[in-house]
Amino acid sequence: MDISPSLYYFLMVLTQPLHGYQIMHEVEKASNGTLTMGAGTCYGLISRCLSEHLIELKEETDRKKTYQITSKGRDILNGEIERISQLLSLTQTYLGDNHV
Amino acid sequence: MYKLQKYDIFLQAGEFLRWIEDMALEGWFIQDIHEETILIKFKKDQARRLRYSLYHHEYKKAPSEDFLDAARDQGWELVGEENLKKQLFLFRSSLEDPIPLETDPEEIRIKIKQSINRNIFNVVLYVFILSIWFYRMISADSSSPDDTDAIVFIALYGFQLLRLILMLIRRKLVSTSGSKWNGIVSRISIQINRSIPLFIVIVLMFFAYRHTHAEMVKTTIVPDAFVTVSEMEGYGNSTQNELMTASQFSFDPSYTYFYQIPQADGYTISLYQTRQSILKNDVPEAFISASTRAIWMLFGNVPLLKVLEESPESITYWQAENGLEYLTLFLEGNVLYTLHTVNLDLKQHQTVVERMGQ
Repeated sequence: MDISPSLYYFLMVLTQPLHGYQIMHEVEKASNGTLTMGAGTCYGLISRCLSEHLIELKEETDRKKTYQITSKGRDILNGEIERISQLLSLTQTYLGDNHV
Repeated sequence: MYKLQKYDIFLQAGEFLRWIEDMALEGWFIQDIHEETILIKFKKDQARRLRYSLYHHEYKKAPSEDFLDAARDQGWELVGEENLKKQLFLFRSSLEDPIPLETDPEEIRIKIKQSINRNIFNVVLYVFILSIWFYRMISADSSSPDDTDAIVFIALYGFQLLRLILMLIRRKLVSTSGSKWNGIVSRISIQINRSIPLFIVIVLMFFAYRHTHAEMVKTTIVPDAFVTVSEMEGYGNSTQNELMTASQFSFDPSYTYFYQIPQADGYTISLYQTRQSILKNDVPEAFISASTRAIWMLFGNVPLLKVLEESPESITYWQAENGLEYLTLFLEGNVLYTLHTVNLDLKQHQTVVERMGQ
């Protein structure tokens, strides 16, 4: 499965229960301000990940729905972390301290 | 004010947004958006700078209050209606540089493809329904599609197939953005969308014309045609009684066809096909005899027989009716004029008959 940066951070922050507005703030915080998520992207990801069972609805109060990652979502996220780690490790092995 | 849609929403979203932002600078504000929209409604107000954004949403689900609140927090407000029938929504912001509603290009492409897939499904459904309609038409009893029905079907079918092909191309272009084909395909799809209302009007006018019309057929009776009618009284005791005198009678297998019409009073009219008979689904529809001056026709499911005894120089007039169908025949020498009207009342039919006589 192709994981975009938005989806990656989205799954990462949902390792704790959050509602939509909190997700957007946590993504910006987790990415150190490099990724600002629009409301459309956030709620689009919520719909998509719900249908693909990567996240689940945890709680619904007033007008706010709280979501959290599922075990399937964790598998996807861990797979992506593994991939990125391997990429970084291979890069460091090849280039050493000599950055391009 | 209404303006014709200039851009393909899927392939020229950027151009479309810039256009409506320019309209806002002139004081015209778009009221709503739909996927295959042809006319855009604008309302006049005080000119100001606005930013617009398109949002593709999940099918059959209105945007949640949660999402609308989050969008509002980022400076966006919904333009138009939020209802279940749309997948495409328009937002606007008065901020100079708001956080875009959609920040991930890959997610945008996925959503647009889902919207296009939904439209493709609808078109495939239309094609399927058209196919069922055509199948029912050709398998209906005692009828087969005439040329006009076939033309309408082919036109509708072809139109939907063309839309389907364009949608498939659009879906491919969305995946490979920046292609030189975007502009070409967009222009074609815009023109097709604009032609839909005209197409519908033409089809409706066509069906209205067919539903109520008058048709005149002219047939020339050739001298060597003949028909023989015989009566059969009861069973086992037949009386051959030719109702008219035929100058010639021959039983040539290459020309003849025997058809019997049982009558309610026990008599049977037997007809032999002539060279001048008209067949529909192997059932004789009309017989014309030059030698015996007899005309036999099927009018709906009712057989009508008329023996014409007047001299060839006179004009014979015969009228029959079948609900709101009227049939009038004029015999002038060896030329038979048949006027058939559908869904005209008797007065309207008479008017057409009088016009024919002029």
